[in-house]
Amino acid sequence: MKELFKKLLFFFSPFILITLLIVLVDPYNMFNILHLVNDDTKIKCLNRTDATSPRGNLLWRTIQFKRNPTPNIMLGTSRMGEISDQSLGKYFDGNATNLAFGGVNYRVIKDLFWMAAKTTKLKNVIIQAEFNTYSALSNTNLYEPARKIIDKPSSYFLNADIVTDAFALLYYSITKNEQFVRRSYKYRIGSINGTDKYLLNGFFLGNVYPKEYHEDLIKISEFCRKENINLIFFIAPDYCEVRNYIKDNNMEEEYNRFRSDIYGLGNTIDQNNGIPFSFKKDNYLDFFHVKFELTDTLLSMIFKPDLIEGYSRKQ
Amino acid sequence: MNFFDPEFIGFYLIIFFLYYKVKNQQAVLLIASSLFVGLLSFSFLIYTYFFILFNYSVALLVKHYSYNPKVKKLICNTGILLNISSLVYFKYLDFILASVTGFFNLFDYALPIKALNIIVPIGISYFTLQGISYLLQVYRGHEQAERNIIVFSNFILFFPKFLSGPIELSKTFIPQLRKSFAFEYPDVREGFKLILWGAFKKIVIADRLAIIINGVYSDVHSFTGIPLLITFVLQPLHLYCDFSGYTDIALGMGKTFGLNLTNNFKRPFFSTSVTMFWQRMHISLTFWCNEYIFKRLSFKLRKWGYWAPVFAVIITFLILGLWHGPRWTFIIVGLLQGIAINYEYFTKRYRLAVGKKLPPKFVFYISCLFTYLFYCLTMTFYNSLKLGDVSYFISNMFTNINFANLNMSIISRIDKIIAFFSLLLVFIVEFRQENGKDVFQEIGFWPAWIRRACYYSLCILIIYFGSSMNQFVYMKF
Repeated sequence: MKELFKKLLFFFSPFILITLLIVLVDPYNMFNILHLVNDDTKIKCLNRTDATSPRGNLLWRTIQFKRNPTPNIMLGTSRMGEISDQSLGKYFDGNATNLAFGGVNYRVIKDLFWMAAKTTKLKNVIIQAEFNTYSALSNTNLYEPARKIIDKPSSYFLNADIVTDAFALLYYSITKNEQFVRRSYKYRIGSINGTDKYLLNGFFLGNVYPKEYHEDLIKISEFCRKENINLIFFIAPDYCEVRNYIKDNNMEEEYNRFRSDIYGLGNTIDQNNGIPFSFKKDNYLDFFHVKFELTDTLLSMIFKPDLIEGYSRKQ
Repeated sequence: MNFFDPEFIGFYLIIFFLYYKVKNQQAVLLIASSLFVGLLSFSFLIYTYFFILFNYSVALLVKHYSYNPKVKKLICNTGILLNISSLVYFKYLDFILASVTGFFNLFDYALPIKALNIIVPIGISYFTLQGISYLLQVYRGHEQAERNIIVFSNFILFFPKFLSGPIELSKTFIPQLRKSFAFEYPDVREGFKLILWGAFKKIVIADRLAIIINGVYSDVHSFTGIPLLITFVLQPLHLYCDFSGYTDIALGMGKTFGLNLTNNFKRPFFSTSVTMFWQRMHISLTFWCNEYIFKRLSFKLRKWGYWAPVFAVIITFLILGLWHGPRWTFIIVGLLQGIAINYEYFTKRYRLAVGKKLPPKFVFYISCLFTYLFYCLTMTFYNSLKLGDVSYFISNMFTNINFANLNMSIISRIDKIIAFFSLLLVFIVEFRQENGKDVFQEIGFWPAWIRRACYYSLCILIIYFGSSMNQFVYMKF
């Protein structure tokens, strides 16, 4: 029997060492006890992953939010993901969290909303609604891995991504190799031209009416009404060519249905109505993402829409 | 507690250590099993204790009145009836009530009956069948009634098999439970190998495929074409890896305690007919149904001659379908299997004649393929909650075939790659087993570094690349 336990211990020793490494470097501050590596290094290192990674930013920010919840949140996709908490906080006495991430769809928005609602008493919620993910086919749940880790801390040690991040953090802390932490995903700057329209195909997975998502949003809307939470839906302006793409691919009917669904949910700020901003190529990195330095303009479109030329608001 | 929870692994290791350290191994197993069930639900544990006491007493009474056949029969039948009644009460009453009210609703008559929302005790479908077979064996005089309540309790409660079987027969399992076992390293090693293999099938493959299958079935009307086709083909593999994974873990754990449980699977996808398939799939359940339903019914209806086995097969498979749960789709699964087996029975001669004209390998593979595809079809009923979902699924499988949807976003690319190669590995292992090679024994003869590399690869896949760790499919039955 002793022999067996010795053999088992020997066999599993690499796994025990890996677990120890995770405890020591704690790449996502899950336990927040040992701070052998500082937070800036951790953020730099976790941001090296794809913007649409289920870990990285999403896990980090969710853990931070659970630890320090704020009553004001913003949910959305990578289009709003670059907005800092500080910029958003300007409109909420410095007390807001941006929970918008790359690759997010309505399933993730729903999960993040209920996570936040369970964590704290919410006051203001902004949901960035977009058409290209308003499809039943857009159903990858990026939040699921983060949820599992948060709900069951033991899975923090049993996850290949966390192990990779722990080793990456260890490597970066020792070598300080800046090349290693560069972002793996870069927006295709200057990719907006006629020949690159095929890129849009990747954003529109195929339109299957998302009945389930609509029902989820109705539930959120009803909950906010009941709990006196100020809920705002925001439709950000796409580059003007997207509208042509929708027209050329006979998706106008679906687009109008999306818009009327969102309008029907409550206070909606729709800036995707052909405002002059959307015609300026220089404002965009690609068909959807505005340039990093202009991301705060999106906040102005929500909070000071009157300043934006050609804005529209539907109550 | 889930088999893969760190709490369970700790619990199992402590029990394993105690089992070989103390004299009364049966008591250790009973305490461990009671703890396991009690932690899942204390009220279910109490129910299971009543169940044990009841069947234990009935068997002793049957034995006691063995000199009086009439009384003996009355006691045995009452015992079986009460076992069946409790199963019907917990599992099927709401379904029966809903069906009755639904029927009256057809005539615009609303019955004042509401659903009772009864919570089904975990494992009831498995241990009830064990109880019934035990009573019948004692009644027929094939076995002695067990006098040791601890041994009998372990027969019902033994924790590795409690949640999803195998449905053990008293004649094979109880004698093992009476013995004491010394620590045997080779047995324990074999047990751990089985646990590892079972965990691989469950966590690495089944839970990955479950993302696709659950994703599609949760909103089936949103899909057409490729996603439905992929789901159609993958659903038997998902179920098999899930259930056989559980069984391997249960068998492995049993082995580490020196106990041999019944293997529920014998490479079912290498079956050349539906009849053969059910001799290789969920063996303990099909054996039970064959022994206590089919044979009994065929004998009772023997005056019907030719039609007796035909009818008995249909009834047996209807019950087998219904055993899975109170749903019309399960009943249809059973009915389809019954029809297929009867079809095979009646057409065997013609099919063999055609088969003789073709190359044997071709016949083998094409037969396996047809059997598999037929199972895929019935699995569509199995996984659907409503008949409307089935008709939608089947009628939309070949519409809007768009190969761009092959990249459906339900599952990531890395998950697809892991699932594909893992399935390939399972196929290779089973193919060799089918050809009489015991891969797990063969590994023992490989160079140590290759062997270790294999074990480490499996462990890394399970620990770090395991998917969502869903509940086992057959736990809900």
